[in-house]
Amino acid sequence: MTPEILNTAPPLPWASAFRIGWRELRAARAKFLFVILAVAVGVGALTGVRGFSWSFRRMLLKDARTLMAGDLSARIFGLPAAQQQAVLDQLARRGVERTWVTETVTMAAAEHAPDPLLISVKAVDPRAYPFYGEVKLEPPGPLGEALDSHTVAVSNDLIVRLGVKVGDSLRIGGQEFRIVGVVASEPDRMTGTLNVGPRVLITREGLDRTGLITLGSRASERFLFKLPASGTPGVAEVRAILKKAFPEATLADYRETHPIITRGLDRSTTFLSLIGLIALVIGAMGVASAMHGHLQQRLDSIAVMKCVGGRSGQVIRIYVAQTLLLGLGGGLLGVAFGTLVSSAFPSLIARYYPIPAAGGVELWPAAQGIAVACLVTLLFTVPPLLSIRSIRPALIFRRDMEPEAAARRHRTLTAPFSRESRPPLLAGAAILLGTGVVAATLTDGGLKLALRTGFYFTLALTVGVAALAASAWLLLRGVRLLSGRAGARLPGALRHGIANLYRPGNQASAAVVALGVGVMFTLTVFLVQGALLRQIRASAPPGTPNVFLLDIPAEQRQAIADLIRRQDGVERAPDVTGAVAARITSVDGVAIDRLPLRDYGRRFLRTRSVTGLRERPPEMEILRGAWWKPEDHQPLVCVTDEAARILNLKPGSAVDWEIWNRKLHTRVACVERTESLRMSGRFEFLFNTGHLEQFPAIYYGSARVRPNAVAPLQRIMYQRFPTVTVINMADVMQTVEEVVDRISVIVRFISAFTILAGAVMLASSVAGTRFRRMREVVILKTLGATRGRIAGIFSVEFLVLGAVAGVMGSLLASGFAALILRRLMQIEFHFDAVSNLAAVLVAAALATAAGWAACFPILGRKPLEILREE
Amino acid sequence: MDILKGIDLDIPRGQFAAIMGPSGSGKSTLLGLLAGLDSPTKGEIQLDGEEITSLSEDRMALLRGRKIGFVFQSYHLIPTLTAEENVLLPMELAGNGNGGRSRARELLERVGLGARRDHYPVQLSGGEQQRVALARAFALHPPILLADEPTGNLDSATGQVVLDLMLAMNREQGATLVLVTHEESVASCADRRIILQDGLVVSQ
Repeated sequence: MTPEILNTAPPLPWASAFRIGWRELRAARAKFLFVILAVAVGVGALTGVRGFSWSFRRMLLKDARTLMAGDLSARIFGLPAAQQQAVLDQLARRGVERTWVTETVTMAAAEHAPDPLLISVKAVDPRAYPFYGEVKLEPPGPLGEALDSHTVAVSNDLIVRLGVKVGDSLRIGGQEFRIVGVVASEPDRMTGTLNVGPRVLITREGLDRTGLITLGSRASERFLFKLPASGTPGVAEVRAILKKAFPEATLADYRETHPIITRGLDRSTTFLSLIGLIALVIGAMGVASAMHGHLQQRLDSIAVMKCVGGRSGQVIRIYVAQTLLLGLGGGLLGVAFGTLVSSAFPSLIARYYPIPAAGGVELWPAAQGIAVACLVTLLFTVPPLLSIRSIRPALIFRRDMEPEAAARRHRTLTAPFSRESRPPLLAGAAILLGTGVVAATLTDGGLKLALRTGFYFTLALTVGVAALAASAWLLLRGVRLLSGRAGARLPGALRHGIANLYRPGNQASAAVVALGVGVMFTLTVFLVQGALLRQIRASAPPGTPNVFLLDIPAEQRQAIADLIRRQDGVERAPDVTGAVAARITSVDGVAIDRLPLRDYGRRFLRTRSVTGLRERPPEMEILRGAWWKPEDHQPLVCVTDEAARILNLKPGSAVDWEIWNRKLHTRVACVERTESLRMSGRFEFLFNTGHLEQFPAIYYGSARVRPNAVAPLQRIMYQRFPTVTVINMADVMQTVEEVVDRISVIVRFISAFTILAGAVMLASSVAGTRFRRMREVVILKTLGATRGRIAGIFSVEFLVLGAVAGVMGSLLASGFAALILRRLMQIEFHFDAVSNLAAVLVAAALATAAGWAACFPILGRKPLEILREE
Repeated sequence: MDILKGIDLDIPRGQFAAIMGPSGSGKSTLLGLLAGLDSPTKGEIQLDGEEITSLSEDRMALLRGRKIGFVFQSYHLIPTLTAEENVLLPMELAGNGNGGRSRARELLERVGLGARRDHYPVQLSGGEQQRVALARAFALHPPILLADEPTGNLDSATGQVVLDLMLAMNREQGATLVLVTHEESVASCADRRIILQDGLVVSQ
């Protein structure tokens, strides 16, 4: 039989649920502030990290565009046909700007100079070129005003070699040009054609005047494109259009200006999205522990509500509403905090380099942050919310008489992951799934990538939590056994502290899991960033050569090296490598001219410079195969991955050479990649020693010189060794090094931020057990324990907890870091014992300190005061 | 362990029954059963003519909200709600929160705490807290009022004030009152005494 009132029972309207939930929040502001702050730190870390990543990417891409002087470059062989011109005009109508750059090599002479000089002429439209970056002139002035059809700007080495000065006249192709300035830096120096002679910048009209460019002359023609700021058409679309219209052209866009920058960008982007996810978990943990502690204190209120007629559904609704309010509050505060930090970001790192501040709050990421906050808060409150169902009103009613009932009631709510909370296993699965979904949502890129990220993320979290829970269980067993055996012999505080760990109602296993997850993620970030930084640093280590010497005769090697070493401003002694001219005749038995080589690939038909090396240079990475051993006497070569791709070479492939009219048969030993700027990185083929020594060689050198000392060096080199060409890459290297520095600073900064957030979370997860501590303090005090003794007991307990969480967390962190580095970033991983040990110590110290901070205020109070507050 | 052993008890509408007995005799358990806070292993309980032993937890909660007012020994006000909001809560849970505010104020006036309606439980003395609990118990005009040692935590003068107030309100509402107590002075006001010992009714 059903009483009639049950059929007419109205559900609790959401408005009422929110009202009741809100009242509770308002009443205990300080307590809830803690929960809101926990949510806020998590959300702040998330939005902050995402904010940094955005500014960072924007900044790096801007640098990358500068190195190309445009968004896209198309190197063409021959002038565009009518149809191709139509495509270019069509793009121009869509807002794609373009400028035409021609580079060629010719001779120049000056009135007083004894000999003419081989120069590298670059004809540009100074009104458009460069789209990004700037051509710096000495005396300073805009390129557009300085250059006209009768003037040129020249590099410093031309000034040195021809003995001219600004204002003098220069004769190119029989025409006179006035020198208006010295080119101090040129943004796309590195992406242009390799410049053999001093640079001369000239206008298109000026170049036409020289009559150097006629049909069939050897000039390199290049179009630079600048895409509209609106973002459409995008770089991929324009690239595809150009690829179709100019099938033979070599296309490059700003994402691939320089291997160091491309790889740096890729790896740091991967790293940053990883950090974003980790910030999410750390934040979620904070939310979970705060909400758990919060609901635990609401047990009595819930029981009372049930006594006065509240149904489980109604009570759950009230607390869902309250959770949402907390999530919303934390989300808003977190987004504000994150926005603040990311807009303060430019000034934080202004010491290293200036970047313009991002304008205002970006709505979409902010909304995303708040939604994530609410969702995560709700997800992590599912287990305690569900256990509201099992709170029986009778328990409170009887509490005064039946203490064991109260104890039972306190066990009904346990931490989300503890062994005792078996019913919320399903809820646990929901949490993992939900976090995975959030992780997937936050992943930039396609659906497939998002799903994969979500999946791996969930998997990592599951494995981590399971391993931690298992080890916590083992620990408690072990400790119990130990204290059972040696119990009586241990000092009192130690015995009690250890006994505290497995006492019923203690959440030791939950605390180990929470702390361990925190240590795991924080240390993972630390280890990954360390390896990433080492890798990035190694690609452009301090002292990377920035001056290159070409065509050094064998007999002058020593003299040149000595001369350079004596110069001011030389930071690194010159490094001289001999090169032998060699030509490939066949690959795997197929004659080279029968191979389908196109465009730039046709260079392999001609003579190439090759060199011999005994040891593998430290910055070289072997992609396939292995470097040779000293006892390998048969001729072996190691090839760059680009050459290997074009010629379809793999370890074991046979390559036949013709060197100074002699045949040499070699096998490919390895495929390598060298990202740093070294002489060895400029050879596509490296031979093992003992095979090239018999041939005449030309020597190349490289040195590290302070940028302002390059000009004097060029001058003295020219006076003493006029046949040696000195190439000044100082300005380009400076840009590359700056980018590398930026990447390092940002990676370090964001990691530090995440690690700090992690530490705060660790502390708060321990502090979250404050409520439980209160009861213990009261009971111990009532039984006559002194404050010192209680403090001792707690210290032992926290130390053991922290140490176990630290050991497990750091082991897991090493595992995950290895996985991330090897799989996602292709960086080698080495176990770092010092960091692991430090993590254990820090976890133990942090657990103790946080436990202390939480318990200290209670220690000084009278037992009755606390009992009354309950 | 059997706490109550074969009790056959009938409390008619409008009666004031006092349950007495030594500690552990099963007084509070009996009260809990009457309120549907627990279910008996055997037997049947009828409340206001309705069989309640087979009702689910949620249905019981609903029934409690409509039919039973509670007064506890340790008040059990919700610490984060003000006096008025504590009184309002049962009405809101029952779905008539809007009209409830004036009723809540009226009840607080009735227990003499009209001026203190915005105070939180910690800001009230024990006697005041118990008076708020009284107002809450009567919020939904329950036909039945259950009280578990309502004066047990109060000094005798305050206890007397609370008891008098409870009896007066009970008369005004015409509710059935079942009260668990240790105190002879409280029991002496009752229409009927039920004395428990070792889970059995020894006198009624």
